[in-house]
Amino acid sequence: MLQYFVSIGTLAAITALLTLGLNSRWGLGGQLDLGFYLFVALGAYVDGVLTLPAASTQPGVHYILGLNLPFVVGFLGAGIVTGLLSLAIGSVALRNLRGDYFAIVTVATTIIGYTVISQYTPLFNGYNGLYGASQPLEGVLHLGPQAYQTFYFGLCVVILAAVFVILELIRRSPFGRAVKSVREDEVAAAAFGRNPYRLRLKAYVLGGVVAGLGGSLFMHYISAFNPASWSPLETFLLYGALLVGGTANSFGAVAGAVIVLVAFPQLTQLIPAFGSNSNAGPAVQAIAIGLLIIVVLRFRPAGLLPELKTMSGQLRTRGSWNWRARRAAGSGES
Amino acid sequence: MNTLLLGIGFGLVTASVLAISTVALSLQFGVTRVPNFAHGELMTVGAYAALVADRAVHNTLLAALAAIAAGCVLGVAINKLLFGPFRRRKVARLTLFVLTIAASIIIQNVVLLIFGGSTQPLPGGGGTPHHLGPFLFTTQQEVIIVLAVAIMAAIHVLLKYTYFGRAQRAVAENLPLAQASGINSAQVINRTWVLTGAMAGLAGFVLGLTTGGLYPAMGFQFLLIVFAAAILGGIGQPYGAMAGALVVGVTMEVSALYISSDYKTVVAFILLILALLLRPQGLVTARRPAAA
Repeated sequence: MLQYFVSIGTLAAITALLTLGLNSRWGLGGQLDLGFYLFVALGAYVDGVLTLPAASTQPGVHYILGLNLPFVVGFLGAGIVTGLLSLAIGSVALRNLRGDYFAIVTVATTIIGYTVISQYTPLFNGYNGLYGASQPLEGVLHLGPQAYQTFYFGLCVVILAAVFVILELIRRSPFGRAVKSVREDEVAAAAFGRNPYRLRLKAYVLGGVVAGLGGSLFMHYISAFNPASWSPLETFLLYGALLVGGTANSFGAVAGAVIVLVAFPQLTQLIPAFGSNSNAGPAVQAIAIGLLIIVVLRFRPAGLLPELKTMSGQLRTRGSWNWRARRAAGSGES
Repeated sequence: MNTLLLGIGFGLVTASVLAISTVALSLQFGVTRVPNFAHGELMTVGAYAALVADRAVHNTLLAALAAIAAGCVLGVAINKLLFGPFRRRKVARLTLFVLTIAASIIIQNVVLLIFGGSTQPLPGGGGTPHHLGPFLFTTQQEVIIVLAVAIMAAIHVLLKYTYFGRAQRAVAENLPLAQASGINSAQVINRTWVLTGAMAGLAGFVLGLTTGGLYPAMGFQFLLIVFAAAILGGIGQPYGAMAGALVVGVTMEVSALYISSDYKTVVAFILLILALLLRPQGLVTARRPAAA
């Protein structure tokens, strides 16, 4: 029973991390990015090819690199590569496209990426994907399978907490407020000397980096990754979590991920399966998430934990949270 | 040269299916101003309705009518049940777009729940191809091409010469002005949903015939190609949609001659992205006063 909760808890922590990444793009930047999961998948793949041994050791398996590097390198590498891809896509798409057109291009990009990854075998082993991912730090710790699961759960929670704090600091920083001002009123922000395109791009890249880090954790959690284990549709489920939890609120993002994507599916598993239809479980879950999105948009458009838009929420940034202001004040005194 | 012509032939068939669906999407976008992400599901439901009807009565024509009816009903349902409660309150366009995404997920999975995930062939598909000029078509493909051309002509007549068509264009052009001129905009919008739902249902049926099988994500996967064609033609513009469908359909099939056909959709999406970046106003632009 404990192992069950540890396993579910690890999944919850990773999912919450992904939802936080999406929140940077959609909550903070206000960009409807429907291609978010491409970055998660790419993070998993990049981590895989950095940490796995060379492909030539197994017959019929092909993938690039295979450097057998430690987890830390794979984890950071995943974030760097997805950040760079976000920069490349964002610098083209965000400069030229707004709102729904941007959304459509991101779906198209994801499906192009999905097709290329599945079809072009030399890249990430095509449909068979990568498997046999390492257990981070197990070589040093020698914990054994059960204790290791608990350790990995702890590792994911620590990383989630670190990312959460960093994103909160960014959100409360002058940069975070500038991004939100672009989301609220682009013309007004531009009139005050902000560059809407650059601010949106930064929020977009930030989300991409978090997606890559989450993908890396996901890779080592399920130890294998292939086109059957992700689909471009996954992004919509993350939106469900974010909309229900509370767009642009980090606590809301985490709560939404835990409620909608972890607790909810676990509960729907208790519903006895309909006849012999093996698709019933995921289908009922997806239908429920769709209905949940509609109901929340209708009756509680800001989500369960709405974003704090009042000055009292903003004022807290003037206190101990705002390291930049504090440093500026400190250097002034010395 | 010969294979190129054959590729163009296949492209014309794809373009025909695409044109019916794209014109519907474009007309509907014109009056609602929301890119309908559930448009693919109108096609899927139409195709499955045809499958059920065909199993019951074994008649292709009745199956097509069932597809049209299912598309109509679902189109009106989206307008009344999904958008209705939100229309009274002023909500952002992006919210309505997210709503259509939710509707798309729900409908797709209801179909999955009822019919299962396996591919089911639509009876009446296939047939032996014969030469027609330089092209190679089955009789059924010829019927689809003729059908698409007839529908395009009918849409042209409808938009140009009927009261509904003029009202529809007026609402698409300027909603407050249309309302001030005494047009019942709610009725026009609802009738547009009936019309475009019917077209999408029929498009789903012919998509099922030409691709040989139905599966719950068929409409969703086809939807992005439809968006590519609609945006290439200038979204909201029915004539542009026809041109966009032709370009995308033919390019996809001709590309399959030179590179793996697995990349067919990739080609369509690259066209979509290029269209959005280079010519966001579309191939066919409306003649409007400079102030508009």
